[in-house]
Amino acid sequence: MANVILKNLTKKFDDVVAVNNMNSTVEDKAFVVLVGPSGCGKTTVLRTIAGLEEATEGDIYIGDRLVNDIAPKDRDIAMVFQNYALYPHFNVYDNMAFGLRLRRIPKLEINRMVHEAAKILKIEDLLKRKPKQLSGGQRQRVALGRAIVRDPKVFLMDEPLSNLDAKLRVQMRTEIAKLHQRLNATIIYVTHDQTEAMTMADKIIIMKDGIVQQTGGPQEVYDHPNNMFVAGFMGSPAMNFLDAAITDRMILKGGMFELNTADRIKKIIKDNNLIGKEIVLGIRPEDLEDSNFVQNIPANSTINANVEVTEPMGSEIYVYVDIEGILITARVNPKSKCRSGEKASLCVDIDKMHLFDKDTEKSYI
Amino acid sequence: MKQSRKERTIVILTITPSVVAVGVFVYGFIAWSIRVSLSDWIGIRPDYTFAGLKNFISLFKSVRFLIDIYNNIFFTILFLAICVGGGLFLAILLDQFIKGEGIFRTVYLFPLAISPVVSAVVWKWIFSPKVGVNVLLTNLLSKIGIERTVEFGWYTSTASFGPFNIALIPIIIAASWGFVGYVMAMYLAALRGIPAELKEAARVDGASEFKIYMKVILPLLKPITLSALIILGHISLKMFDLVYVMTGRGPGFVTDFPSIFMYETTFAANKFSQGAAISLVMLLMVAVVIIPYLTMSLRRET
Repeated sequence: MANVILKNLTKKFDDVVAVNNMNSTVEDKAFVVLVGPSGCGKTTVLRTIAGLEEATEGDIYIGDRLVNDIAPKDRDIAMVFQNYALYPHFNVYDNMAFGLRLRRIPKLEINRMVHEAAKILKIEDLLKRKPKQLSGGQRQRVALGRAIVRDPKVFLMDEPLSNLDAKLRVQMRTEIAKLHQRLNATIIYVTHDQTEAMTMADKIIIMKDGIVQQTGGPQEVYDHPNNMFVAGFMGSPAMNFLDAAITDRMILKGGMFELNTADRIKKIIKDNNLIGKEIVLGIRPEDLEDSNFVQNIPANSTINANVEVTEPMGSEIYVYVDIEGILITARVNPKSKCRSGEKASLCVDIDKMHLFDKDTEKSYI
Repeated sequence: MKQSRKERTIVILTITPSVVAVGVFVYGFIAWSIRVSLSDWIGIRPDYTFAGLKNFISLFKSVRFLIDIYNNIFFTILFLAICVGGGLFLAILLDQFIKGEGIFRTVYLFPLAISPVVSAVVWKWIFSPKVGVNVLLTNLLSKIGIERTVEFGWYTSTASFGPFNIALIPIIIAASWGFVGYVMAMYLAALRGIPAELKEAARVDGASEFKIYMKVILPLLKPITLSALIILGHISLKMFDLVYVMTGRGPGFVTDFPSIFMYETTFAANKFSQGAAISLVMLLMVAVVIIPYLTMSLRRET
């Protein structure tokens, strides 16, 4: 096992900068998720680590060894591809054994290793089948099997679950997490799905336009996003953003609302000299509740607005209200009587608000 | 799913003309050829007197016909080898995403667009013993100081290498030139259909570029190779126009093919019954190649 270090990594395709001066460390045995919208450069980072793309600038270290000029096969990595990339003309056994045979491992040893990996992934019954005869989930297991059988230093996974249906995806998510614990391996995992990132990662690296936006643990990036992009990207439904001005008495004032601030927020306002300034207020949907279900509502902590749509989820209701032309999402108690077309009063958890700079979109701390 | 009456009527209406046409012009005429081959028809006037297998027996006693079959089999083997090997080689070269790929593709495919009669005339000149490549070789030799006139007989040569007539070499070159681009196009399309991830997976698995082609890419091209062999195989077994214009039967039948024999027997000597027998033997040869392919692809569909 080994750590992976990226130093000033830049990758350009002609004039397009896919990865811009990235500095990151993946600790030994960590499960690191690279997440971002499509085209953000996350897959390029993974492919550069794998050696399938050459870094334009910067250095890549795997286990303290500079690997810039080392061929993929000598980097001691295994990659799981989005479309599985199983060899269609080999059966499952041969798919898993292929890499071992190329390394001239004795036959008996190969046999033992393949069966061991197959046992871990519960695909022992499938060893004689061709990929065509497998379901999506089974193919995914074989692709994982092909990776783990080689016992590499680092696993690279490129959106391995995106071709599975929703239910299977949740199941495989847990299995990959379990696999990580069992193998004690370093895993770098690329996805565009923030839920996968939140649920599986020890550390999340959020990227946009080739630039790392924030690196941190799942709860850390959720609770303390660096900027509006991270705040909006992590969490589902996404964080709501409202324009607001800060009054002399540290009240957040928008066109349709006036909100008091908690002590924590007051400190941020003081530290950043925000009195009298325009800011962007961020509120997570779970920090908005139907006022009928909140006891002891503090003064100036509700927003009244027209309900546009309600989406009952069973355990809660998503209520979409219109505030100055912006659709705001609230996750409210399932017993809420909010109806579309009617007015609703939503109570804001004033301790959990996020303040962002209007121009730089950076978070105030 | 149950079809409505209207849908069924449309299906029947659209299929009927081609079924009738194929039935009459293909199977009807095959049946007629069989009948003629079993008759005594010589001369312009049809004569359907039943003559049994007489025509076939005399055919297999004919020296010319046995030479023709030999020629055709050797021609086919070499023609297929060059087209498939060359086509694959060109396709792999073009698949490296080189600049000007479109130009090369067109250049390689272009011979297919030229009428075999036209290319036959050109190749006939190129391999003419008194001009063509012989002159070129003579000039090249004189450049390196050897003053000597090269005199290969090419398609007029009666020398043979075992059962293989050397005179066939120019024809094999001419025919392969026509079809190698076609095979290249088939392979290139297949290569483009192989996901890049597969190559990358093999690269990460530890395969060298050579191994990637040997172990991953080539096995995936197997169906294309089979199709190419069958398509070229039946073209080769029926080869007529190119050979007829380029060399004809040649001295001592060195470049004779069953098709030329059939043409001359039927339309020059007016031995219709004998000609029909030759064409039926050719049909059987082609059937040996085509029928396994058809059953295989039909089985795959159901």
